[in-house]
Amino acid sequence: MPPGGLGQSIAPDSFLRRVDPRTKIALSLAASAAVGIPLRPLAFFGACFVGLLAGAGLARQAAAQLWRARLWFAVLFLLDWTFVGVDFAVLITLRLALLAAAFILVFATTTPDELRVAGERLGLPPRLAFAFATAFRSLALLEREWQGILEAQKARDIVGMQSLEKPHWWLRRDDFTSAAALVVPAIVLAAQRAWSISEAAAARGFESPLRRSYRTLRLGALDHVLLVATVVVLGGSILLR
Amino acid sequence: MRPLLEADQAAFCYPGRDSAVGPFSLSADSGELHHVNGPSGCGKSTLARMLTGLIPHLYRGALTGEVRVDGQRAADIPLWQLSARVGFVGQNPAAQLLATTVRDEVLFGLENLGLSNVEMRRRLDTTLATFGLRELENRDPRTLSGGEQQKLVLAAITARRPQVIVFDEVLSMLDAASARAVAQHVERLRRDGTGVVAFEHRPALKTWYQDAHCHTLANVPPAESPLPDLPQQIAPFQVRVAGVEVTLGSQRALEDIDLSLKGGQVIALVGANGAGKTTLLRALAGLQRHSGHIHDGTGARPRLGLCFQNPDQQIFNPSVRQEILFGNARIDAARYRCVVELLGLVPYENTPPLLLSEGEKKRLGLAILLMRPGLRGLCLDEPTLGQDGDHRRRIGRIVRHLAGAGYLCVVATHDLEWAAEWCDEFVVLHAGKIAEHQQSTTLHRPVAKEPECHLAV
Amino acid sequence: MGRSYFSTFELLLLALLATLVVAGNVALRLPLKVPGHSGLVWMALLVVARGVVPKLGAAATVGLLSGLLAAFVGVGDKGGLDTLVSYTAAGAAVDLVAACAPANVLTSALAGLAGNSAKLGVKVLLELWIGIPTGFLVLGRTFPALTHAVFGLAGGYLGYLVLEALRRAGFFVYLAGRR
Repeated sequence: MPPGGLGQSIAPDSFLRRVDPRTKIALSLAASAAVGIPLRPLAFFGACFVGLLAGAGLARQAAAQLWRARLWFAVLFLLDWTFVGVDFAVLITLRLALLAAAFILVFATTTPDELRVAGERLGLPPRLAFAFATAFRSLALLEREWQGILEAQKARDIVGMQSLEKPHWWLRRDDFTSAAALVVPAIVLAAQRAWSISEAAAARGFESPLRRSYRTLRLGALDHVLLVATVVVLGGSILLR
Repeated sequence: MRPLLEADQAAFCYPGRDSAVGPFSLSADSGELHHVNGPSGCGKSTLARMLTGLIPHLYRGALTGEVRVDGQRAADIPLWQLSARVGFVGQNPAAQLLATTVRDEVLFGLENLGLSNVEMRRRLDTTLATFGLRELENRDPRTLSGGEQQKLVLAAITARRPQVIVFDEVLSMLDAASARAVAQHVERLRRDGTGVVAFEHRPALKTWYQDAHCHTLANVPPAESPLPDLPQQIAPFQVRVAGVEVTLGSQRALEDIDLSLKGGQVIALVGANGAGKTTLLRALAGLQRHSGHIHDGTGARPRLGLCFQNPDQQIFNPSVRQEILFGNARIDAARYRCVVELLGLVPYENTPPLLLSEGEKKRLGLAILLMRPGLRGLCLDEPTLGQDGDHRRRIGRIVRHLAGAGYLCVVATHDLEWAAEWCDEFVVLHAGKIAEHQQSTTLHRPVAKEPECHLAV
Repeated sequence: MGRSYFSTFELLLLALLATLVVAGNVALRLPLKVPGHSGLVWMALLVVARGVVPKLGAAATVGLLSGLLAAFVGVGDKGGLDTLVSYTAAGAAVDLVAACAPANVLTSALAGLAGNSAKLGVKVLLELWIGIPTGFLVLGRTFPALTHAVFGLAGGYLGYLVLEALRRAGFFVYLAGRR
């Protein structure tokens, strides 16, 4: 999780920021699909993918992602090496690493608004896309709101509030009361915000069948290069086996 | 010639309610200004939503009578079409923000009109220039002030070029300067030929209504009943605030705060957004870490409670009664009875708090606070925000009544008119420091002499 | 123009519940190192979502949106695809179970069980796809399967309790007046 709380960790200087989100989704799906190929071609594909990540300035994000699963990598590698062999251990580890890192291309270089527009272009209903964008915008508000609820209920000396600050593994009746005192306002506030937004959106003609997005997406030269390169590398990897 | 917007004996009954709101009749045309006023609970917001088609398109219930737009029944016109002709701007600007930049906020409504990109760009540029938002184009709307946000919402609606715009208390959450700025934009719209139907109670903006068609939704103002007796007086006490400082993150939110406050006073904390009003309230209530001291002269910290700005943060019980009594180990029936009568919550004792109006919820928040044993003072954070004249007056009477019983009431507020009427002293904060501390020079409304009643401490 | 399956309000409500799911998964971690314990809050919220918008697809929508959100903010140790698919599967499983029987405490608990188990199931399927031997998976995932089931049941039950609290607080009356 990025430091400072919930929020996207984006690489602002990456050249992939200029690439159409649809292209990045295609690249990520190709990387995920490549997980099924044998070791030698996988290594080749993986090397190309690592090169792309490094060139796009995403090495740090990729390393952080892989670091989170380090225990899983270590245990699997040891088991596979012990019971099957080193080649198999390397194969599984590479596949897991590729799967873990595949969608960094999208999520570390695309803002939710950009993904929303791309989603609409790919046929996602505008309302669903708008709902997603609203959810993302609300993440930052949520922490503040939660702190507000916690403080407001603590100020009422509601029994059991202390238990939420210092979580413990056994559940007491007070914990359910305290949980209700926090969860009910959180859900109610969410519903009120959803209602305000839907009224405001309706007041600006949302759900109009005439809707035309101002932002347009066009595949540029870079998009075409990346897509062709992906097809060549993936095809070459499959042929290499 | 038929009017553009017309309500003809329109009434609306919400699900589960016995009586309908209305009936109302009103007709408005391009270039006209209509000012609609009425006491709290008379149906202003309901009428505003009927005029814009939000009722019945978004609200369930029984609509009687008719609302017509250009002779057509509003209920028969799809909402997306209706909104192109009749715009709507609500009370809370932050709740109407839909996008991540100022530019996208304006574009949101334009995209739904099916305009070409060239036309959208032209309208965007014109709107940003007209409303002075050009420099803020790439800003996140959530980082703007309340006045700027309301201006942005108005700009987003105006860009769609509706023939009439309905304003539902759009100035009620703004400070005086912001309210004037937004009112000036509305006046310019009207001069440019847009019809305006404004539901507004701010008396300070009377110039705005000079040539308006005025509509009052209820002729009889609600009767003002005497406030109930409060139990035993709080013994005189003082609160000494000495050298209080608060740092939030890397910023000094409060610096060198020295104050001497006394029980029985109503103190207004005023200042611009970010001046430190809420931080000081929280420090007084013991919810904010601070350096320095807050004590009552004997070295002990006086028990001051904070009434939060948003009562929805606390509400979760099935009834008002249970909400007020929740968390009290020992139920003091007499105290409870006194509190609900004082705050006018008797008719709602068995009502789920969620279903109360905003003003009623704010009073509920105050009731929850007053049930705390040992309380000697209250800190209220913007108790009149977004509220109409009746509620503002009611809160004023209540805080004066509590002060009369010996409570210290410290109120953070943007509502200078209210503060001048009901508060004894002003503490003006600026950038975390006290800029001024003065007595209120405006005579406050005398409270009728009530027999003594005892709110047990 | 015909009415959509979910109204805009319902869709936005589901979206904001998805935000709560992600925030809950990040912030409300119990001091346990037990696989599946996040299901206590997660499944509770999915059951609540299915309860406040009682339509097939409500929990799946929350799952999909929360999966996208979680992938964006970097939750999950096996990458965006795993996060997206497992969150969506959890929501879809809750939906399917909730659709099979009237809403009550048992259905809610079972829905939570199904959701939390589906989340684990996605991970197992991905691991099979990668080529991890079945024997390893059986050995390594038996205990997590049990704990996922237990926390899923508890989460579903908690969701039921929250729905009851919301009902008593008048929340459904509030919703009833809105399309």
